[in-house]
This record gives sequence, C-alpha cells and structure tokens, in this order.
Amino acid sequence: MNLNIDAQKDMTYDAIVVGSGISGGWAAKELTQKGLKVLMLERGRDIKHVEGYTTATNNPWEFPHRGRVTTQAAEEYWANMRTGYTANEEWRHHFENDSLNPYIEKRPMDWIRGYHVGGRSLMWGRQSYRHNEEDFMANLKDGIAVDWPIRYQDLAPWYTYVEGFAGISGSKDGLSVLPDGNYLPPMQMNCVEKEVKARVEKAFGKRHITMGRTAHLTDPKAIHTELGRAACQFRNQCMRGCPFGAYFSTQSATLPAAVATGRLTLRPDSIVAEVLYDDKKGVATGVRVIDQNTLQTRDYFAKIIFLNASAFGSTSILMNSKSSRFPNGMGNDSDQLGRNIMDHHLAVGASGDFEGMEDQYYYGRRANGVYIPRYRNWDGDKRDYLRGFGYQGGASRSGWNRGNGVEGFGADFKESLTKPGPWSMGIGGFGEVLPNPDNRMTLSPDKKDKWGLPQIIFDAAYGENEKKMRKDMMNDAVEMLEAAGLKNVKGYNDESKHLGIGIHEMGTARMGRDPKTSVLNKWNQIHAVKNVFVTDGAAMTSASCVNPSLTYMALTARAADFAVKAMKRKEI
Amino acid sequence: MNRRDALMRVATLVGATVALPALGHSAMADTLEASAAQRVATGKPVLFTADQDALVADLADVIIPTTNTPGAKAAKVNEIIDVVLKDCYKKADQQRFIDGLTQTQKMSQDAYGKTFSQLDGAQRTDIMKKLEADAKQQKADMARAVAGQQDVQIPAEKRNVTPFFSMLKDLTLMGYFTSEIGATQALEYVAIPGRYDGCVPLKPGQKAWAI
Repeated sequence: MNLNIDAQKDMTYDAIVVGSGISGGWAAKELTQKGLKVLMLERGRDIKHVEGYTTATNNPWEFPHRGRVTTQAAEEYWANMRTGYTANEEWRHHFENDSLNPYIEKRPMDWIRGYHVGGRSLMWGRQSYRHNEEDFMANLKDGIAVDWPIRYQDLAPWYTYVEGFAGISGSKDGLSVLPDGNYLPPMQMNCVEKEVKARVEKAFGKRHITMGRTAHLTDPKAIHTELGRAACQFRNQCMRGCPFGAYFSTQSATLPAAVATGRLTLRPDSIVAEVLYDDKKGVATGVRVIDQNTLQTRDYFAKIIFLNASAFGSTSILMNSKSSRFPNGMGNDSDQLGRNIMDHHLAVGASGDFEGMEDQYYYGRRANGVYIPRYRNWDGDKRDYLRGFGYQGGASRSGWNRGNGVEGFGADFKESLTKPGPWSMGIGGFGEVLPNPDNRMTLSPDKKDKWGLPQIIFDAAYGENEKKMRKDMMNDAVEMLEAAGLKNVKGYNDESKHLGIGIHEMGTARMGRDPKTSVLNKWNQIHAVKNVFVTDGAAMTSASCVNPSLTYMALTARAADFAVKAMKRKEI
Repeated sequence: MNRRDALMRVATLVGATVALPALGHSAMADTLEASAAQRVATGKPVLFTADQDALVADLADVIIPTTNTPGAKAAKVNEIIDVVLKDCYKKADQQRFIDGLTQTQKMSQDAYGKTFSQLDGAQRTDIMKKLEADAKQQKADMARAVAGQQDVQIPAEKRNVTPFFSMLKDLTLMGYFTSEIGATQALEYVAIPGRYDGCVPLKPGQKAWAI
C-alpha cells in the first residue's frame, strides 16, 4: 500500500484497542481518560446503546415464534444450540451465526461469540466476584502449570476501582473465600431462598448462601447517572440489551466514558488480521485490519496495542502475527500461546420441590440468583481432586409451563395454570478447570474463513480432575437441598457438554514470571514485545471457580495505568 | 501469491466504492420472520389448509376454553401454532401433527358421524380425552420399546417422538399464555416491574406472573 505521510498520520494513534467487549471497553476508557488518543477496533457491526437493542421492549406476543428457535437458525447457530438458550429469538441477533464463522473441532469446543460493538458485555451473565488470595497462589501450591506473577493484593485496589465504576450490587459477607468488594446494595432473596439459606447454614457450618453479586445498578451513584445509566427495573430481559443502561456493558458505561474524553475513535467492521512488528526496533508498530464488508485491508499504527478480542480472538491474532523474530506467532517464544484452554465446567447440580410457603410470592423479575461460595478443598477440607466449585441457583414458583407435565385440559385445568404453582429450587455448579498444556488451539494451515484468515482448530477436553469434581458437585447439591427439606430432589450431571459451554474461555496467552513458560508478564505485557498488552481471558494463569469478567476489568485497568506511566517514562 | 496479496486483490476487485451487502443479520432476520409476516399479510395459514387451521383453533379451544377470561380461539392460538410448526419443527414432526389432525377428524366421524367442528362441547371433550389417552399409551409403548420389551413393535426412529396430543397441548399452552390475551388477562403481565420484592404475601385471587 502506498501511503503518503499525511495518510499515515491519519492512521496513527497513541494506542489501539482491539475489541470492544468487557475488557476492550475498559482499555479504551482508561487510556483515553489518561490522555491518550485511542482507536478502538471492533470486528463486528455497530450496535448503538438503546436504539440498537431491537427487541429490548418487545412483549412476549411480539416475537414471531414467541422466542422459539427456528429450524433454519438451529442449523446456522450450531454451536449456540449447545447452550440451550443463546440461539433463542429474543437475543439471537447478539450471538454469532456459526455457519458464517466456522471453526474446526479436533475435539469439541462450545465457542459462543458476540461480534459487534460491546461484544459479549451486552449478553454476559453479569455475576461479578473477586478471585481470592488462594486463587492467585493455587498453581504454586499445587505445583501445576505456572505461578501467577501477581497476588491478590496487587489486584485488590483495581477490583475496588472497577467495582465502583461498573456498579456491582452485592452483600458483604466477610468470607475469605469470596472477598468483599465495593458494592451497591444487594438484591433481595425470596422467602424460600431465605429459608433454605438458614437451613443449609445450620446443617453445614462452613457452607454459605449469599445473594448473587451482579453488575446491576441497585442504587445508582453520580458516577453512573452522569453517563445516562439508571437503576435496574427488574425486567430480566438483559441479554436483549438494557434500555435503562442498568447493567454494566461497554455501551452503557465504558464507551460513553471514553467518548466523553473526545479522544476515542471507534471503528466497527474492522477485523484485525495481525499485529505488525518492526524487527529492527523490536516493537509492535500497529495492526492490519480487514473491513468485514468490503474486505479492504488497511494498517493502523500506535505506540501501544491492547488486545481485547476475547481469549481465542486475541490468541488467534497473535498466532497469525508472524515475523522473522516470531515465526510461530507473536510472543510465542514459550510455545504456550494457544495452550492451557480453561473455562468453568457446569451443567451439574440438583433441584427439588419446596413444600409450604404457599401464601408467599414475589414481585418483579430478578436477573440474579443466590450464590454458594466454594467450600471444597478449603479451610481444612480435602478431596481427591484439586480446587473447587461454587453454585448459582434460586427458588421460584412454577408458572403455566407446568401444564405440560400434568394430565388434563379444559376450564379447571386452565384456571389452575393461572395461579402461581408450587415452589421449587435448583442450584447449578461452576467448577474450576485446571490449566493443561494439551488443551490447545492452533490455526489451520489450509482452511480459511471468508476474510481469508485461518480457521481455529480446537483440541481440548475436560480432564480427570474436572470429572472427579463433578461427582461432588452433583452429590453435594442433592445433599444440601435435602438437608434444607426439599422433596423429590433430583441431581444431574450432564457430561455431554464441552469446554467453552461456560462462555468463560481463558488461559491461551497466560501471565507468568518466566518468559520460557508464559506469554505475558505481571503487567499483561508480552514478555518479548513490551508495547503489546493482552488483558482479556487469554491472560488468565488459573481459572478460579468464580465468574471471570470482573478480574478482566481489574487486570485491564491496572495494565492501562502501567502502560501510560511506562509511556511517560519512555519505557515503551 | 501469498494470503495478504490475495486479500489485496479481492479488495481491489471489490473496489472501494462497491460495498458488499451487509453481512448476515438483517437479511437473515427477514427470512426467519417471513412466515409470521406472511400470515399477517395474507391472513392465510402458512402450513395448514384452511380446514386444518379451523380445526386447530377448535381443538386448542377445548384445551384452553373461554372461562372468565377469553380462551385459545379468541387468542388466535391457531395462527401461532401454524407459524411455529412451519418454522420451528422438522418435516417429520409437522407431518405427525397433520396426521393427528386427520386422525382426529376420523375419530369424530367414526364416533358421531360429524366433523369435530360440528360436535357439541361434551363430544369435543370426549374426543380430546381419547386423544390424551392415546398419547399416554403411545408414550408407555415407546418407553417399553426403549427398555427392550419384546412385545412392542416400534421402529427405532419412532421410539422417541412426541405424540400428537402432547404437541397440540404444548403448542396451545405456549401460544395462549404468551399471547396478549393469555399474558395480560389469564395471567398478570408487568412489562417494567421497577423493583423486586422477594417476599410478598399472596393476595386473594392473585394470578401468576406471565413471565
């Protein structure tokens, strides 16, 4: 490409952020607020806050198939179909058509993507927990993989910072396994949840049930309202996009904050093919972008680059960034790039019927549940597997759906279904997955996508540790619900799912202390390319059992702070 | 020609001024929603014949009749069943449903010498009870076939199917309780609750929340 100097200047920024999801939004916000001119690149289409949420205010009868998945969509969204909910009509347009975005499964991988401005911050589960002190020492103590290069104390102030801006509602419980944060008021438990909490905590001294900590504004502060955000309205239609900006997303929070600086350029439809590298200077110089609609390529330049394209996205970009210095992909001196795929394993737990409380109900739709923090391999407990799991769950009264499970039809049958049904409660586990170098992704040498970029080949699966843990996850769930007096308690352990089903993919460019065994250092810099930062799930050295997004936010804010200070010191 | 050159060449061929059609979403949404739009635009069923459509409306109204709130026919449940069957069910399932309608008319003719729509309320209920009993029997037979009972002769591909009555009931409940009439009259629908109260004593006559 013949670029004159002026044109190159137009394509030059202080920083480039690749990806506009949870971590990319944070990178753009932090870097622009610290004075940098930032280009944020998003591979997918633009979705404008509020006006872009096309189904947000639909009534149930306004969906052509009342939310059900059409056979055509089921075929096209083949990976999404494995989740059981992401292809639904209400929000399918926020997930990717898997047939248009193929990947190769040497072993199965449930890869659920959101290619648009805001990424999966628009559809995330919003559960927001801190890793605890032990999480950052677990690999060291267990002698597996590599040690985290940071400790809880390094990240704690950044957790506090991002919680304040994002707006996390939760209760402070004083549990070392689930460190307290900077919270807005918690949501309420319903009557049955309160009763089950009391009974479980009485029966098992060391197991606790708390309210889910979630990125919803229960009592918005000025820092939230000044961006146009309002309190949660308890519609529970979050994945359609929230017209109140009540949950944290790029659109509701980090994007308007970054735009307000006047220093952000957002460019949708821009697929980053590779990071450009200057062999002589030993630094990255920019990125090469393919327009997803026109297929035109264009280069952009910057002093620093933040990769926030999701774990597999950022990793595939680095793998595709080949140079004489990095023939196996940028930053891949350790051969760890693409390895150690982690997620949280789930689809295991129990549910049962709660008899009584028939005179009690609830008002509103709470997009949240209760949380049972990890208690296994904790505080003196020792199992035949490593690490642990937490549970998410909740109680409710059944609705008209129960009509399919009982015999009958006609007037009395109809009238019975218009009344609240019996109470039931379920809890589902989220278990930690160990890093395993054999769980990996590579780039296909011959299969390309429609943009000419190599397709990802996944070759990964759960290991023995996860399988052993799942027995406890099911049995403990049954045990707790039975101890709480529930009837007809049924456990389940669905082993048909694969890595990725938690939509918490992590670990493919891990942080570590030693460049020989890790991709990133303690500041999320690529060991050998100090002006490239990776602060999405790829950076994770171990998975913990808690939902990871809050940790990505904290890592990103911390890395951005370091990056700007290092730039001022002329170190990068 | 390496990959980068190939891309550049494609870009050149496409040209800066010729944008490709927008990818995916809008175009696809059109095809996926076409059936519902077509039904609204033409007023005609997209899968059923007119007779089948009328029969489904009558059958659904036996499952969810008008009481102190309007029933399935008033909520036009037949229309959503038509669209959902067309778009969300495989051909074999669609055919089983159509066969069930044919069978229902035959049962009606055999028992009363009339079409289902010509029957009185008690007769309609009687036919529906037979359909429900048939479905129960079919499920029991399938379970025994799966369990390897030698006396049940069911081909493998028909051992895990939803009987006609079960499909009809499922679609009727879904169609009714997600309709405007079902959600706002039979149930209580609050689009924007505004708050969450975890423990609320049930009021006399309190209806279940629609969603």
